[in-house]
Amino acid sequence: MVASPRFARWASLLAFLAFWQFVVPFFPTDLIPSPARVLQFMWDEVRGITLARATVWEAFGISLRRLSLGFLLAFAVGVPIGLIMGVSRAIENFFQDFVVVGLAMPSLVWALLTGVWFGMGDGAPIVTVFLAAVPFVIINTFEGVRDVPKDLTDMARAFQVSRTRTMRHVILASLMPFFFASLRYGLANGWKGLVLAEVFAATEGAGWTIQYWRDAHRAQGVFGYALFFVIFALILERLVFQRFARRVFRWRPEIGAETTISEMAADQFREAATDTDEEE
Amino acid sequence: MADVKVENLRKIFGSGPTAVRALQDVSFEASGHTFVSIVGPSGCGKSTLLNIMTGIETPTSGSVTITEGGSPARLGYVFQSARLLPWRTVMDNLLFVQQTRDEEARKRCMRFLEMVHLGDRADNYPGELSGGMQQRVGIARAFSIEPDVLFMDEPFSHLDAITARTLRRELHELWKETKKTVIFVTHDVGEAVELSNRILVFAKGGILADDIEIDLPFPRDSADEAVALAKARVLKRFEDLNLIAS
Repeated sequence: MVASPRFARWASLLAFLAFWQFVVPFFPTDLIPSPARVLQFMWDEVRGITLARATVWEAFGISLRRLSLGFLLAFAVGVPIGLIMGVSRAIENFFQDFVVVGLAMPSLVWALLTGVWFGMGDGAPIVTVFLAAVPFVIINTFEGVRDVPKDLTDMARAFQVSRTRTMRHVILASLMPFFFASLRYGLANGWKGLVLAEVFAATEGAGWTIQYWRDAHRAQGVFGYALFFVIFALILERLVFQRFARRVFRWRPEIGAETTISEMAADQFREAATDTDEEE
Repeated sequence: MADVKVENLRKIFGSGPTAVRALQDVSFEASGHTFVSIVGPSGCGKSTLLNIMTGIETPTSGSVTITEGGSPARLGYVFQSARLLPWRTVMDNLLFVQQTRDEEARKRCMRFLEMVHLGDRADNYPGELSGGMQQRVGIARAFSIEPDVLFMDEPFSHLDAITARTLRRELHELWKETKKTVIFVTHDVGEAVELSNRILVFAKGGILADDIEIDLPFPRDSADEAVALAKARVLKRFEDLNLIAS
């Protein structure tokens, strides 16, 4: 038998579904819904049939808007801080501990705190996304600035290439992989924080809705939403990140079809993390 | 015709008892269709001289003027490594340093890519080329801005012997055809003899110790007797200057 990676992955999925179906009868009532019930719930949601206040489309739409706003804010604040940290030792030392604490802080803390500060509404989720994402944006931008190839900027100066052209084609271009890593890790961490913040401090959105199904004792709703989260993450990864990465990193021969962007970003993140460790 | 004038150039790094003299009262002139090699052991101030001539560093005293018909000359550079933008294609790397990016500039870039035999690689990324090809792109880039004076800093030192030999021939052809003033830094005396009409020998401490004219017909083959003799003569000067440990 040929054990292709594709086969192994499908086999694992089927084994999981079979196991799930198998354990359902051992639990009382509705605590564990069957795969079929969960799928039925999801299908209804997708078609807009729901008992909740909003359909899955509306709930995710609200969450996505909050995620985008929070992340744009994190990018707008994090990139300049990362840039100045990269060029000044003093500023690096000034921000360093905050960044390290920020990277280590569970998003749950931000979700709880912002709930206290902003109450119910858009404020807590957006600010949580911002706080959860901004350290990743800062650290990656900072690493990127450290990594700007001096031999290329010298070359541009020697050939009297204008500052704006050098900025765009040398400096920003060399920062692209680092911006990409910021995007990937910032969004991932921001999303986790967002869902928590919506559970505690929102009256709508994906996090609020999964909470709603829990309160309604509809296990299929909780399961279904958990799967929606997974699907959402997969879509983001496959359709957005991977395509974007292939476009942006066409020139890198090592980024082939087999290298996923998450692997590349993970490498970069590890480098960033070890560098921070060394400096402590 | 380009004129290069270096007058009483002095460069001192640091101050007090730890000060290092990198260049001491260096003066020379070069103009027109000439190929000047600057040779000397490492630490003799070759790179410092080049950095000052190209404006990357400032001298402690003295001056460098490089003019073309009275106005400032346009300068081209070839570095030790190719220094290409990895995220731009070969053609875009050449266009990056052009003053305009119109059809004319594109044609000019293509012409120089063809001169280094890379016309069919214009749309490749540097990562898809060998080290020798990348250095060729670097050379084509330097010529493509049609500089009055071309500076080259040990451009073949990272390449294998055979590739370096081929590239030296191509460089000679380009120089012959474009009639530029070339200032070429190298630690390889054989290379200097093969390519130049003039060799400036530097001694440790940044002293311009000798100015040797090489009056031999091109193309020069290192196996040729006259070339070998010239090389031996320059090496002898090195020894006289205690540049080579016996």
